[in-house]
Amino acid sequence: MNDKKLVIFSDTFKPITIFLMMIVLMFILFGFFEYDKGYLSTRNIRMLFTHMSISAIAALGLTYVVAVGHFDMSFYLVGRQAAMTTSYFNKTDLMMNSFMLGNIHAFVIPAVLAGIAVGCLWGLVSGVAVGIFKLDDMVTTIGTGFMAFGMAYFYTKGSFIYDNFLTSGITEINDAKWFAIPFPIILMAALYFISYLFLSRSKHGRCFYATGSNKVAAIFSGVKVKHYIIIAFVVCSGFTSLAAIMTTAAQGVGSVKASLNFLMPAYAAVYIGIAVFKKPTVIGTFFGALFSAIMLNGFTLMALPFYLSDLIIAAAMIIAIMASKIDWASIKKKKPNTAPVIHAN
Amino acid sequence: MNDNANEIESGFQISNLFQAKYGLIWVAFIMIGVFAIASPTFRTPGNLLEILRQSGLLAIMVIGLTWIAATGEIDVSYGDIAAFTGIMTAVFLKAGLPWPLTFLLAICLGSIFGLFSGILVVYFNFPSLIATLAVGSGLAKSIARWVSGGAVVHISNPPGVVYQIVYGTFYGIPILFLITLAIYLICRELQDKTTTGQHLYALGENRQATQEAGISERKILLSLYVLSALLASIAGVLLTAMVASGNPNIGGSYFLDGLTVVFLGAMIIKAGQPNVIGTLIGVIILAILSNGLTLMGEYFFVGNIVKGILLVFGVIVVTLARKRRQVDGRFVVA
Repeated sequence: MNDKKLVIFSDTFKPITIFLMMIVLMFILFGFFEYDKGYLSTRNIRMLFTHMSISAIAALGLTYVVAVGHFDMSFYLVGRQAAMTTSYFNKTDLMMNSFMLGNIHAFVIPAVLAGIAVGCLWGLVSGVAVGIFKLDDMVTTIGTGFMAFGMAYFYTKGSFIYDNFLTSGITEINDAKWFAIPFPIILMAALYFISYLFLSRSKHGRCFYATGSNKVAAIFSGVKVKHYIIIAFVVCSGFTSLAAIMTTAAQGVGSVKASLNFLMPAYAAVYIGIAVFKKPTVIGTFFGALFSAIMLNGFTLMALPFYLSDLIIAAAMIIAIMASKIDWASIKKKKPNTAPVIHAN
Repeated sequence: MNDNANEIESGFQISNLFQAKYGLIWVAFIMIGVFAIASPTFRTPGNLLEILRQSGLLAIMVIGLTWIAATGEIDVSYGDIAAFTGIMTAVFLKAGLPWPLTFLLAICLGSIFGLFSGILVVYFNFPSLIATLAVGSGLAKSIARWVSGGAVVHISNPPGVVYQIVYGTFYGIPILFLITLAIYLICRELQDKTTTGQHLYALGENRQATQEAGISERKILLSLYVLSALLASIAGVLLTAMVASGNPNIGGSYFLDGLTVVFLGAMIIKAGQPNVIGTLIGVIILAILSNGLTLMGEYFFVGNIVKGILLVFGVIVVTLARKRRQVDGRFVVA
C-alpha cells in the first residue's frame, strides 16, 4: 500500500516539483534582472496569464491528439477560418439588431459558436480520415489545414474585418473581468479543469491513452479506437478555434492571420510537458505553456524583438526533450517505468 | 521495386502507358490542354518554358524530403532552411564577400541545421515532425529574422554566373531546368541502381526487419537529413539570386508545395512510394497548376485549396497502395 502511494507520488508530484522549481527559478531570474520594470507586479502577472491563456487553450486541444498517438498540423490553419467565420457574423446586421445581454449583443454567442463549429467540422474531417480511413496523420492534416486556410480567404478575399468590433461587445471575450480576474484566464482554468477530469480521472481518459500507446491492444481490450481518434481531432480543432476567436477579440479585428503563430507554442507546450511527465498530460501541458509564457514575458520586458519568441520556445523544447532522453537512459536501468509511453511513429 | 524491374525486362508496350501508376502524367496533359484552351497567354512557348524554369527551385528543394518520406519519416524544415540560406547569401554579398565564398559559407551554414535535426531524430529519438519543426520554423526562421532584422534584404547586383544559372537559357531551354533535370537523373540512378537506394525503401517498409538485416538506420537517416538541408540550401541560394533579395518569411510558401509534390509524385512510377522522378513530375504539375490558375485570374487561395485536395488525394492513393502491398507480402512470396 505504502509502495503504491510512493509510486503515485513519484509519477505525478515529482514532475510537478521539477516544473515548480523551474518556474520559481525563472521568476527569481527575471525578477532579479527586471525588478524595476515591475516584473513581479500583480499587473504583469495578470498580463502573463492572459497572454498565456490563448496558446495554452490551443495546446490543450493538441494534448488530446498527441494522447491518441497522432499529430495534427491543421489546427493552426483551421483556427484562421474559425476566427474569420466569427468576424463575418459579427459584421452582419443581425448582430447589431439582436438584443443586449448586459453590454454585449446576444448574437455574439451564436457567432462564436458558429466559428467553433466550423473548426470542429474540419476536426471531424481530419479525424475520420485518420481514424477510419487510416491515412497518414501529418500529411492529411496538412492537406485539410490548407483547405481550411484557403477557405478563410473566401469571406473577404483576405482583407481585415473591422465592422462592429467596438460596438457588438465581442471584445468582452478578452476584456471582461470576473472578480478582478480576466475572462480568458477563467476560461483557460475551466477548460483545463474539465480536461484534467476527463483525461486523467475518467475511464474515457484511460481509453485515450490506451489508443495512443498501442492501437491493436486497445482494440482487443474493447476500446473504440476510431471514436477516440475522431473525438481527439474534433476537440483539438474546437479548442484552437476558440483560441483563435479569443485572439480576434483581443486584437479587435477579424484577420486571416489570427492563429498563424500557434503552431510552435502549442507543440512546445505539449512536448515540454511530455519531457517531464513522460506522457502527454493536461497538467504537463499546462506547466509547459506556463513555462514558455514566463520566458516570453520575461524576454519581452527585456525588449527582445518579437521574432525571437519562436527561437526561445523551440530552444526550450529541444533542451527539455533532450534532457528527458538523457535522464531516461540512466533511470531505465534501475527500474522499468510503468507509465504508458506514447510511441510517436 | 521487383515488379518494376520485371516490366523493364518485358519491354515497352503501349498499354503500359495507361496503367494507374502513370495516371498522373495523363492528369498533367489534361491540365495543360484545359489551361491552353482557356488562356491564350498560357499556351505561348515563353510561358511554358517559364513554368519549367520556376519548377526548378522547388524540385531541388524537395529531393531530400522525397527520400526522407520514403523511409517513413518527415521533414518540414526545408522551406525555412532555404529562407535562412537566402538571407545569409544576401547579407554576405552585401558585406562585400566574393560570391564563391558566400555561397559556400551559406550552404555550409544551412546544412548545419540538417545535421542538427538529424542528430535529434537519430540519437535522441525525437519524433521527426517535432525535431524538424523546432529546427526549421523555430531555429532557422528565427535566426534568419534575427540576422535580417525581420525585414527583406535586397541585393543590388546578383553575381553574373548565378544570374546566368537562374535566368540563362541553352537553346531556348532554361539552364536552371537542365541542371535540375541532371540532378534528378543522377538521383534516380542512386535511388534505383545502388544498394543504399534500396535500403531507403526497406526502411520505409519495415524498420525492424531492416535493422535485423544489418543495415545502419542511423547512418542513412542522418545523411538524409543533411542531404535535405544541403539541397534546400542550394535552392535558397538560387532563390536569392532569382528575386535579388533574401526574405526570412518565404519558407512558409514552400511548405505546402513541397509536401504536395512529394505525395503527388508517390502516386506514379513506384505506386505508393515517394520517388524522385515522381516528385519531378509532381513539381511540374504543381507549377502548371499555379501558373494556369494565376493566368485565369483566380485568387491564390483557390490554389491553396486545390493543393490541399491534391495532397489528401495523394495520401489516399499512397495508403491504398501500401495496404495492397502488405496483403501481397503476406500471401505471395516474391
